[in-house]
Amino acid sequence: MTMHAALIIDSGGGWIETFRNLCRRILEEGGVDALLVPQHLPRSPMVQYTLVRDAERLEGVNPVAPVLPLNGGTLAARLTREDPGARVAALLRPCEIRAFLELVKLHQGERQRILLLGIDCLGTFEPPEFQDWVKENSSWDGEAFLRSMRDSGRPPEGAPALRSSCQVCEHPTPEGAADVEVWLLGTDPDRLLLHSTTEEGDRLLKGLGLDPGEPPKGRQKAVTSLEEQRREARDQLFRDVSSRLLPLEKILETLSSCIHCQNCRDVCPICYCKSCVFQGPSLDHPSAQYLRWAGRKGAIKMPTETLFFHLTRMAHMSTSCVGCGQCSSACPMGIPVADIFRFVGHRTQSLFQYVPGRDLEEPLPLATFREDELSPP
Amino acid sequence: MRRIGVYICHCGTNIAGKIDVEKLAEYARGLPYVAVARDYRFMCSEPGQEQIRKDIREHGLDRVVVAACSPRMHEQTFRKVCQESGINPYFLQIANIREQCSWVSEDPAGAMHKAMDLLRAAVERVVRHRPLPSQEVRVHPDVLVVGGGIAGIQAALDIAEGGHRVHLVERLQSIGGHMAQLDKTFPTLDCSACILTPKMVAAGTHPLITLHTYSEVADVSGFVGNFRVTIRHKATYVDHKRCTGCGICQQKCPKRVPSEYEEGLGLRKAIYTLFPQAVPNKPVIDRQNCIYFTKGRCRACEKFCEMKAIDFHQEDWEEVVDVGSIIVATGYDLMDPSVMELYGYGRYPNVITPLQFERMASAAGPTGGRILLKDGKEPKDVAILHCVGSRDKNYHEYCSRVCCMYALKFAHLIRERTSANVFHFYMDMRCFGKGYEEFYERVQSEGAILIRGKAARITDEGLASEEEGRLVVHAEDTLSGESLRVPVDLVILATAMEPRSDAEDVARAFRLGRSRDGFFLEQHPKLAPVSTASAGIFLAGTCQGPKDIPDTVAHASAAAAKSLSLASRGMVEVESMVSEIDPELCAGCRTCVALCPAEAIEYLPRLRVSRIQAALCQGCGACAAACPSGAAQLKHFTSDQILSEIDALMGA
Repeated sequence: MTMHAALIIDSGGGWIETFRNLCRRILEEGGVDALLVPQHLPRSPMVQYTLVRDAERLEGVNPVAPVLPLNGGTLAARLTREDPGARVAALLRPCEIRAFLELVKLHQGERQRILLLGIDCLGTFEPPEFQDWVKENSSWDGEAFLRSMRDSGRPPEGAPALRSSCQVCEHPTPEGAADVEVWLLGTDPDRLLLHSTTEEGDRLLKGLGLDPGEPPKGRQKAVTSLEEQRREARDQLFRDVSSRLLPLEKILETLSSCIHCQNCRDVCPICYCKSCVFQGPSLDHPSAQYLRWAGRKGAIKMPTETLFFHLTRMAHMSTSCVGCGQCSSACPMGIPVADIFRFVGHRTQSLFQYVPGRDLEEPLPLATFREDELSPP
Repeated sequence: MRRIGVYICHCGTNIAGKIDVEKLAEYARGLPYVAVARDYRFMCSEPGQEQIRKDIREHGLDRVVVAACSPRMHEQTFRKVCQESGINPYFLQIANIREQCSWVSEDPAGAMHKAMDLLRAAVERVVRHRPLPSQEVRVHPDVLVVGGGIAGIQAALDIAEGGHRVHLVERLQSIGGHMAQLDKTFPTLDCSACILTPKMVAAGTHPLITLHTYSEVADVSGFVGNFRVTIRHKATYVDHKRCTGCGICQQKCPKRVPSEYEEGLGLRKAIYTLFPQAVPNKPVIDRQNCIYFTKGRCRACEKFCEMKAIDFHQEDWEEVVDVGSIIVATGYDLMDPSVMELYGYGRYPNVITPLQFERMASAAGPTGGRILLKDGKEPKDVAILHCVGSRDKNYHEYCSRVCCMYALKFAHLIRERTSANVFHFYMDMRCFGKGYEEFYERVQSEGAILIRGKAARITDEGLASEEEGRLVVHAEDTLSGESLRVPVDLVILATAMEPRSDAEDVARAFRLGRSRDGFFLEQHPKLAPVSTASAGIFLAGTCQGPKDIPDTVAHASAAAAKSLSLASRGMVEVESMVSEIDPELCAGCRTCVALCPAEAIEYLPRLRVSRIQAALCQGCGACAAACPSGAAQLKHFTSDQILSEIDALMGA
């Protein structure tokens, strides 16, 4: 297990073109029947996930476009909940893989039913900002973003900033959770580097006739330094959240603009319920109850359960929160939901020494009982 | 439209002394749906209950709220009242205005306010109560008894005499327990073996008692009426079906090691029975010490065994038995006094434990019943230190209840067999049982010297000639205020009884609670001293707390009666407050399956949902708490019921 393979980038074509060809070969020669991969849809600047069975339908493939329209972990779960009847592979970013593994632990998907290609993530933009940026730069193809991030660690001149969640993400690489990793950090720009970590991954690379290569020398250093930088940014964010957003009077203020669209819940990869408890009758109150509350306090905000909704969601998913930031991106009111959830998640996860999506063998903290849990180490 | 009856109990002055019960009834009449509200001196009395029945009939009530003591006390009483009057027993709600209000509030106005809040919450909740069916399951007639000391033996015999099969599991190779090590028993001075051996033999030969010696309970699953128990039999390396117990193997075995039964005062062989009257009287091979197992040669026992019973290839094996109830009688450990360094146990050879003294005093023991020092001489002066590790904040706060009495018994035995002086160092003499005070008088008249004061330390540093080469007990006589140095030859430490070192594991296996002292927790200290929080699992003897033999036997018979009443009725009412899972909402994540302590939840792969098996569910609510979508709900504790209660509590 574990081998390296390098594809020389075609002169004329770039990294993305080479990757597109790799996708084709995976479908044609890799024993894979279908590939879940992000593509520009025809005549659209946006990139969306596509499930491709026909190798001719890969023209828009772009795995480095800095946008995450939704967390693909939920798609991988959807494709594997039952036997899909064919060999499926998916190209996912690290936060998507970690979300998928959490869903597998929650029995919403099955790891054995999918071949995971994990790609280093250099960060993403807010989807509307990405869309506008692409519209304004008709020659855009993603290569410039890739180059700029590799060279300077920053998006190119004139591009939007990375999403807050990406700026503080300390897991930019797949960390062994995929079958095959597509490396971008610390690699030779003339080569597309693949690294397999499982027997399945080895089989794919061998099936494609790729020769074992040497691991790139600068990789470890590049990864460590980016992780370091992200952790610093994360700790800065946590300090900010705990002083600016989290105290009780401030959290009410922060959430005061919530319009109850519940988008944050809909896009959360961990919110796996068929039907949310907030949609059912169990939290309904009799009409007269609202009147009684209003009578007692003089005035109440309607609907009443803004804080309760967010606290409940936090109670349900904070130990599994992978920090993908989809909730913030989906909030039409710009509430920094992800910053708050990331901070709370970090604390609840630390209590159980749990890292969501790290290892399928690690049980979900709330689904198991350890005698020493919650006791100081 | 609901019609609620509200009943407020004075509980004598327990509630009415703090809360204006008439005003509370008046308040209740103003609450929604309340058709009638009354206060009465004792609602739980027959006239109190009859008033509710009458009102249900005459006022057409369909819900009842009783504001009184904790539901632990009388919820069942009033559920029965409802049922007798033709309404579902779960249409009752108790507002606890005694334990949670009048008893704990100092300010009457505050107590009144809280009582109103609790009452209002109960009214809002009871409106949302739904009828629940009562359900019964069959009780397996057999019983498991864990532990083969006097408690386990007594319980097993009582149950077998009642006509039910008992599986008696004992960790050692013979039943008998600590009592088998004792010489005489206080206050009657019966020979322990003489009264115990017949019971051991009776248990060993009773057709309805299956002995599982040299065995442990590996796993317990199921619930009241239907437990499934896995018993692990340790390899004895002797085929007990062939073995006749002739003892030739023990004679021929060349390996001698200190005997645990003799508390290290005597030796045993590597193939051995615990003691000559062991039941069953068949030997086992101690693998750690057997020359063949450690060095690969010898096999003397095998060569001499005519029955060809030695089997070096035997392995541990497991057996599964089904039982309807379980009696835990796992006993106690005697505290190891070597942690109390000032007493020098382990450092001075003539400082001994009470069990070592028992073995020395026993005619069948290593000294043939003679009280001797390590050098073989008779002691001239003996000290007995009371409360070693008991009534001591550094070790055990509790009183071990037996030490005063056995210390007196030791004094009697020493005076009877030697000419030694016996000095007791005690804090208080606790001689509370039948015939105990009389025994205390008797031992005093036999010349025991009682010094009221806890011994501070024991040294071997003699200052005067009469101390030279002897032990010196340092103590203060608290009655005279004098500091004492008492030179003696032998010191017996009356060490504490403490929970078994593996009590935590046993508690987990049988889902038992433990009290602060570490012993297993009974359901109620006075009214349910053998029951536990786990239905169908009972406690017998010292695993529940320190006891002497009479109390242990009484406790064990009480536990047997509990098991027998379950078995003889043959049916048991099981929890109606069980969980259910709404398949429309269930996402099949199986978090509840992993959490369910009763293993009552099954996953249905074709439907991709989980389902509660109502007969197995114990109603703990773990699934309901864990289920994020609210698919799992515990009946009688549904979200709407609890939220309406909270809403009402929060708002006037």
